[in-house]
Amino acid sequence: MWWFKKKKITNQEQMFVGYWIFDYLDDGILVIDQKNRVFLANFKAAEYLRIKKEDLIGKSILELNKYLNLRDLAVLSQVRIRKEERKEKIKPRDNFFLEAKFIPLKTQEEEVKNILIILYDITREVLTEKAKSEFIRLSTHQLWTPASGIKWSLKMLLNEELGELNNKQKELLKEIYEANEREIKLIGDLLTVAEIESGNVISEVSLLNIEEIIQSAINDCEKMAIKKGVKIIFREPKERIPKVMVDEEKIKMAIRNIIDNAIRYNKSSKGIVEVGLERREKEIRIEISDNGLGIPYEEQRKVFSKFFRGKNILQIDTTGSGLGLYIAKSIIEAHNGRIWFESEENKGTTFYFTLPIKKKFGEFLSSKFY
Amino acid sequence: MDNSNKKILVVEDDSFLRKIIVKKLLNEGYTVIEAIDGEKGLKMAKEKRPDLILLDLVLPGIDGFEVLKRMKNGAEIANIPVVILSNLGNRVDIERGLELGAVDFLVKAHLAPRDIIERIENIFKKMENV
Repeated sequence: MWWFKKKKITNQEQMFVGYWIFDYLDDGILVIDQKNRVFLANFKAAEYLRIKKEDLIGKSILELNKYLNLRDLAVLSQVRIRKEERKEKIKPRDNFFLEAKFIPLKTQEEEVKNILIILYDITREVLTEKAKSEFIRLSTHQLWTPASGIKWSLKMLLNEELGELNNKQKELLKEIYEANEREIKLIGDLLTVAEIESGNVISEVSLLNIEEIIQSAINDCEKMAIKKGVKIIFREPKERIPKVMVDEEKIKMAIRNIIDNAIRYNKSSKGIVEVGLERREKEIRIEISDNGLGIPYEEQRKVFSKFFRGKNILQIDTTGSGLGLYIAKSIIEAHNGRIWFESEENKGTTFYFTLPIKKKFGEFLSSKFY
Repeated sequence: MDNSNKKILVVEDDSFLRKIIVKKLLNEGYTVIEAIDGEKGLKMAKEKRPDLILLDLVLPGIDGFEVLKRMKNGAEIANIPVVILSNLGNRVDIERGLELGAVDFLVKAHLAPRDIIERIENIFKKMENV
């Protein structure tokens, strides 16, 4: 039978084929030794660095970095010491983006001598993402233009700058004004959601006092609280709270969204929203509780999804966008925090979220790299 | 306050918005000139030397940032205070506008016309006190 006579592929042939595959792979490959010198490289790596393959061999990666443009060469020592894979985004030159994966090659004694570097061309994804962000940014701007005109005209009418109004006219104009305000807010929320979906949740981070941010968020919600007859109480923390590395605007938005919900889910006037803050070992914990309608048990698992609004609230307040908690959760998780809640129908709800206390600046994720 | 000696240039391409702002400014007694794009805006600034400019950012042709840049480079008009009035409200755009020399950055969708008037009055007051 013919398959008994089939020639065995020798080890050598396997090695040759393996080498060809390596050489012609569509991703760039470099292998560097303990002294960070390149001892293997394929054609794609040479193409990405714009250096001839022969010229790559033997060169130190530190020397080659002017073509590679790795932001921090310390990643190599980290891969060796921690014996873990690392990924970095690199921009070697204009309009060219790579994702570099650093894989420690362990010897039989679990030592790391060599590092395998795989370079993936992600230019298309990066440029598509940029184009999408730009489109969204301009679209929201275009949507806001007529909404601003409507807002201003209504304000002038309501101020009776174009003549006196009777009560019915005033009431209707007020409702149109509020509907327009909701639209403006919704457009803003959609813009935020689009930023979250494209991975740009956080932009600028700094070391800040969380108490001040909480107080500022409470101040922003004061107007609505008064309107709904709800009192906001900020329980001062018992001990000194260390500063946290946060994107101030985004964290304020997250806190505002949770407080906003607590106000909306209020039963009637005489509602109370309590905000508390405490330090736990490696994190700070913030609590926002209300004595309102609570979230029906069957709906609790949907709470953080986009456009969700509880059935019990829809009968009382039709004006929320349903995006607030989705946005808050995305922001808090992007800061490496956790968010959860406890709720009982007709008793109230308490939202909890944590923010890690970062000691080392370098530990924190840096902002967008392009 | 007698505002008739103060001239304000409004650079805004949307006619609905432009009409409202111009009307509001005229009601307050200001003298108003208008431009519907950046190039015309620059031309008017050079020719008419307004006392303040309300500048939109998203414009046909050159954008508001470019207008601001060119204004600050043109010696005669570099000192006219520019207030950006735009719907691009994110931090990056605001910082860029202020860095390029705008004295204030107002987001249209978040303000009422009265707020714009107040900011303008504040700027004029500050200038008089200097």
